[in-house]
Amino acid sequence: MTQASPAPATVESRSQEFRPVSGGSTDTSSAGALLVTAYVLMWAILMAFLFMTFRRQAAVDKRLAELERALPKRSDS
Amino acid sequence: MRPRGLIVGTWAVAALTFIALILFVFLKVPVAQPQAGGLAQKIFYFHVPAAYALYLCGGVCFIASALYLAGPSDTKDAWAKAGAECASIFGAMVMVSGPLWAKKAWGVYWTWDPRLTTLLLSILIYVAIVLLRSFAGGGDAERKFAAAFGVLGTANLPIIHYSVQKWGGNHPTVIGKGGGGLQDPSMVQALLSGFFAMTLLAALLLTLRAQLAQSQARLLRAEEAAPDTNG
Repeated sequence: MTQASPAPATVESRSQEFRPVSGGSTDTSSAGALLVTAYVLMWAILMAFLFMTFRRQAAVDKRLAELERALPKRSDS
Repeated sequence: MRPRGLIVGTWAVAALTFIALILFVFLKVPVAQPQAGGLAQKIFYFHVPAAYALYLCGGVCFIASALYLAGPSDTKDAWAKAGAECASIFGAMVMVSGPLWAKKAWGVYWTWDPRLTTLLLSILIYVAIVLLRSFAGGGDAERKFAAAFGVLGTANLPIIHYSVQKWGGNHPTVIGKGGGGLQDPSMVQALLSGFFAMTLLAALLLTLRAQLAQSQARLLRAEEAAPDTNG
């Protein structure tokens, strides 16, 4: 029977420091892919949020300008 | 008058810092030991600052929500809403990057670790505030309910921080009590630069979203004043 979780279970056994190693990990291919994926996804989330914010602000500004144009006409009539 | 020059300048500094940081992290900062994820450990330099930015935005949401409950105004409501929205976005960044590192370091994307679980709970609270404000309208009752939620939700943030020290689990304690720290000066420099850049980014996003929320409140009032100009 095998253990399901490879992760350490106690406070003492988990990673508590990041030490540099010469030459890096011997298994870097999947780590590289995970690293690039993480960076791309983080920036994609941020850019999508910014895009939505600017688009919404533009829509609100446009509608406010329409209302400001319409209000003097109503008060004139 | 909006301090447009200051905002543009802050955007420029934030963008340049992020570009420099990415180059520094990929080209200069050494790879960590395999137990810490090896090359995947470099996710840490954006993951941790993003979590810190979540705390920052959660703090803004908390303060603005508490002030709104004490004396409602459009400005306080706008900042409370912006805080919840930005906390959700930084939470998403943390939730995307963390599991990708965990896959390499722990062998699994997710485990019901105390810190991961409490963080997920906090993000869900902020997402709930955003959904409430998006779909339940901007009435006074909805605003007050969201503000109360913003105050209560932020009470969870210290629990996230101390859960890793009090209840154990798998999450590293590289920063803070019990942590062995970063064993190379460039690792520390990269992390501090990440904090600086993420602080600027959080301030900019909060400002943008608060401006948007204030504009939306103005639009709502203008439409109420002129209901027959729709379309």
